[in-house]
Amino acid sequence: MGAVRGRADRLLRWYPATWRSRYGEELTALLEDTYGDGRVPVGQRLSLAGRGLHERARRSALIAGDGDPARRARSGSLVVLCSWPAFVIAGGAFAKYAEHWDAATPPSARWLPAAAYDVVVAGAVAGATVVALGALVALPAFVSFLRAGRWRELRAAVAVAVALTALSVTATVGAVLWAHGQSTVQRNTTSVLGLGLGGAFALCLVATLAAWCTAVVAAVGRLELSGRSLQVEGALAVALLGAMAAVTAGTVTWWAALATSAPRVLSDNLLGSWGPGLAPVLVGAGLLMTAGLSAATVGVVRVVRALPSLTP
Amino acid sequence: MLILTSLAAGPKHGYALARDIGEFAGVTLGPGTLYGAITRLEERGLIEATAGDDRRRPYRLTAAGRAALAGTVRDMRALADVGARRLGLRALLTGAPRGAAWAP
Repeated sequence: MGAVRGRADRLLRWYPATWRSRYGEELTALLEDTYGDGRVPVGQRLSLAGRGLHERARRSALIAGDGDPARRARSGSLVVLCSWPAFVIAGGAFAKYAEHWDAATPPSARWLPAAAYDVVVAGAVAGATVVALGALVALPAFVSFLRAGRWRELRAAVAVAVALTALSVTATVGAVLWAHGQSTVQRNTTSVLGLGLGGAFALCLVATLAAWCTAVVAAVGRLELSGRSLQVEGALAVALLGAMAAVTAGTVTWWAALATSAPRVLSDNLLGSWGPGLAPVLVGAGLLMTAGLSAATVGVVRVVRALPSLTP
Repeated sequence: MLILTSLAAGPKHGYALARDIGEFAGVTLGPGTLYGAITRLEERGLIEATAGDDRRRPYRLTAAGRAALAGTVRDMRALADVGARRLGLRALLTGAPRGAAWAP
C-alpha cells in the first residue's frame, strides 16, 4: 500500500490544507480500498485534481456561494479590492507614457486632455484613499485575529509578498541609480537589454502586487467582520468602483483628445506606437482597466444584492 | 440524494457508500466526486461522521438529512405520479393517500 499512499499524497496536494487535515486520511483509505496496489486511473486522477482545485476555489473568500449574505458581501468587496491592482499597473503605465505630454501639445489643444488627466489623478488618489479606509475598517478584526494566535495561517503568503516587495524595492533602487548614471540620450535610447530589464522589472512589480493580493484574500477570508463592518466595506467597494470608472473615463478621454488634436504626441512617444494615435502601452492599459472595471462591477453587484440582508 | 439514500439504510464509510450506490443505482462515484459530495453534505448538516477508525470513518444521516431526503422522495413521488397519470401507466400510481404512504 506504500506506493498507493505516495500517489494519494501527491493527489491530495490539489486540495487545501484544511480539507486535507479533515478528509485526507479517509480519501487515502478509499483510494487504497478501491484500487489496491494498482494505479489510480488517469480519469480519476484528473477528477481528483479538478475537485481539489474546486475545493480551493470554494474555500477562497473570493467565491460567494449562494447562501450567507455576509459571505456574499465580503466576497463582493474582495473582488473589487482585487481589481484595484489592475488599475495600479495600468495607471503606472499610463503615468509613464503621459510624461511631459503637455510640453509637446499645442496650447490650444491642451484643455481637454489636461482636464482628463486631472480626472485620472483624482480618481487614483480617491481609489487609494478608499483602499486605505477599507484597511482601517478591517484593522480591529485583524488585530483580534493576531491576538488569537492565528498569524501562522498567513505566514507563508505574507512571507512571499514581503520577499517579492524586497526584490521590487531593490530593483527600483537599482533602476533609479542606473538611470542617474546615464546621459539623457543614453537613457532614452531603446536597446534589447534595456527592454529586457524593463520587462523583468515590470514582471517583478506585477508578481509583488499579485502576492499581496493573495495574502489579503487569505487574511480577509479569516477575519471575523461584523455586519456593520461589512456594510461599510460594501459602501467603500461601491466608491472604489466609482474611482475606477473615473480613471478609465479620464484615460480614454485623454487618449482620444490627443489622438484627435495632437496625434504626434502619441506617435512620437518613446514607449512605441502602432500608428497614428495607437500606442501599445495605452492599448494594454485600456485592456487592463476594462478587465478590472468588469470584475469590480461583478463584485459590486454581489455586494449590493447582499447588503439588504445583512444585519449590523 | 444518492448518498442520503444509501445512508438511510445505516452508517457507512466511503468505500461502502460507493459500493452501495453502485449496486442500487448503477452509478459509479469516483473518490473525488464522492468526497466532494460528503464535504458539502456535512457542511450543510445533512450527514455527520460517527466515532470509528480515523481512516475509514462511517457517516450517518442527521435528523435534518432524514427530513431533506424524505422531502425529496415526496417531491419525486409526486412528479412520478403526474408522469404516470399522463402516460396512462395506472399500475405505477400509488393509490394510497400520499400523506399516509410517504410520511417520514
